[in-house]
Amino acid sequence: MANLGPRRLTKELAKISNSLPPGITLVSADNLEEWFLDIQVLDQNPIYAGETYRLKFKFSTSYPIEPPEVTFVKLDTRPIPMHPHIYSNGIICLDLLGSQGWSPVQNVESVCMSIQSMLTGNTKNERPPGDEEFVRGNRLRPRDIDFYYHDNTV
Amino acid sequence: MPPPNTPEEGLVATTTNAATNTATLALRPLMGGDSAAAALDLRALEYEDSVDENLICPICRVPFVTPVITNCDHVFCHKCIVQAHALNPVCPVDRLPLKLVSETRPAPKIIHNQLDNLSVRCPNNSRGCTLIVSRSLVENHVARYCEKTLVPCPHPSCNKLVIRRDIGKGCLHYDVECEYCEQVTQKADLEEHQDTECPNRKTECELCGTEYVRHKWEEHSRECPEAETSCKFALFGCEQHVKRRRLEEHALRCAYRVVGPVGEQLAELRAELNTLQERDRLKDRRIKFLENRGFPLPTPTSSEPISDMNLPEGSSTHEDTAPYESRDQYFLSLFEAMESKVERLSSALNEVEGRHSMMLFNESSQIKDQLTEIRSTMGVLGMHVRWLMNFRLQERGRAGTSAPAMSGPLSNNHENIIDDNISRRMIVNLREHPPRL
Ligand SMILES: [Zn+2]
Ligand SMILES: [Zn+2]
Ligand SMILES: [Zn+2]
Ligand SMILES: [Zn+2]
Ligand SMILES: [Zn+2]
Ligand SMILES: [Zn+2]
Ligand SMILES: [Zn+2]
Repeated sequence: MANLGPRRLTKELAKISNSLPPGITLVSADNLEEWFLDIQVLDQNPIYAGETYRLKFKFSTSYPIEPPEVTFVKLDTRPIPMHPHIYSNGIICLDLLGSQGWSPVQNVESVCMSIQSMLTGNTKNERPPGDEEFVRGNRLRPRDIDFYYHDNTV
Repeated sequence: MPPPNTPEEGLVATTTNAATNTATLALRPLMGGDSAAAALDLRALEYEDSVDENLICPICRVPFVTPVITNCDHVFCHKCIVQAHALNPVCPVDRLPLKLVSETRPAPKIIHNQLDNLSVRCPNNSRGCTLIVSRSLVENHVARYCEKTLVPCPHPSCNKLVIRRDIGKGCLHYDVECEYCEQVTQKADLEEHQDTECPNRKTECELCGTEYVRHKWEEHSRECPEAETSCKFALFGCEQHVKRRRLEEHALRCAYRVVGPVGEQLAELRAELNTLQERDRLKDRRIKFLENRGFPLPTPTSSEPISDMNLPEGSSTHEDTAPYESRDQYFLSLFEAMESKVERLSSALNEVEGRHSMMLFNESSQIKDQLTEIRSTMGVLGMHVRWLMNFRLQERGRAGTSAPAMSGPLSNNHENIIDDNISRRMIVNLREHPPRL
């Protein structure tokens, strides 16, 4: 059943092209492997006010059994948001996106909303500890990194 | 071969020849003779109406296929939960630990029934089958009746597939040139090519200017407003040919317009007569059937039993629009649907039976334990009673020899000795057989 992924993504695409929660917009979904969405933080959190951030979703053929690979991408008008769980190269450390925290009932919309609320609730205008070193040395894909979810206060 | 330029084609362009000829591979059931039904992927079906959210699997987002329910009351397709569980052994919805074998069971029957009743399109609709049928019947339709199902080519040395309708035409797997675009396709795929792919498939009607699909010229010519056609009173003698859009105009001036309406009424009556005769024949057959079976013929006042015998709409009176070629096949498919239901029932029954015998076993073993316990206590008690009886007899015998007259009370001293005796032996007995109550 390797073809479960494309079929389910087609359905998701049909749904999110019609309606998405406020602050989330679909930028492009030209194929069933890579989608781009913009998110904004809607409350007046001073760290993120007025900014728009771009998310890249990469799907494997076993999506939704396996989680998608979700990162922020940097463009001239799309910075990488400051957050103690987001590295400056756009890699997000969120247990929902790890193979242990992922559940196949999640979808693109719910992932976007989780990331949105992760930003909304944040008060620390900082990068994760060891960010520079990590970004310099990181040659792995996000899914291959073993994150430690030690800090659950953020 | 069509050019590999459509997305679907691009994906399969490297696979075998047999698979390269249509752009609808995802829907093509793998054919292995009669096992076709098993290969039909119910998750790829298109549903006719919007389906209740409660019947949608939270993992694959399509209506459940062989749903199972967990002990935490969440329902998934069997395949979906197996796949998800292999990666993470928890319930995908509430993330509680989940044991696949012991904590899931088939979903309640009412869910199965609701799913069975959903209307789906025949998966061969891309090849032109327009049937809409309930989901429980679709596998049967595709496997046995659908004209557009791909089946192995009848030619013994050809291992390609052909639609069922063409199975009597011999091997159609030879190259022909499309007469409109000069592209070479196989004869078997020509119709589809000219329907949907051919770059020159459409043309403008020379007469009316509307665009139509070329090889459906006949259909267009039957409705083209500029084409010449015979007067509608031709049957009654008018020999004039006029353009279709001027037909009404001509009818007003037609020399035969007086005879015409009468003739039309006549034709209508004749048609009605035909349908009545047809119905009469059907009724005759039904009556014969009832007589043969020895059913009591219903009295004219109670027409209910007869109408009960009616076939479902669409198969008796409109023979040509019926989804099945014949009534027999329709019955067969109903029968098969019943059969699968019976199978499901019997498996459910087996399961219930298993559960019951397990329960019975558990309870009866407890009862057995208690029974043996009671039996051993009984034994002990019986022994005590026997001992007391013996003692009593001995006592009476002794009383008989020492005091035959039984006149006075036994001496205190004597009684004490006997009492001591009893209690000592009782204690010994109790130590050997402690009562188990
Ligand atoms: Zn659950
Ligand atoms: Zn499912
Ligand atoms: Zn069909
Ligand atoms: Zn052939
Ligand atoms: Zn052509
Ligand atoms: Zn025309
Ligand atoms: Zn005329």
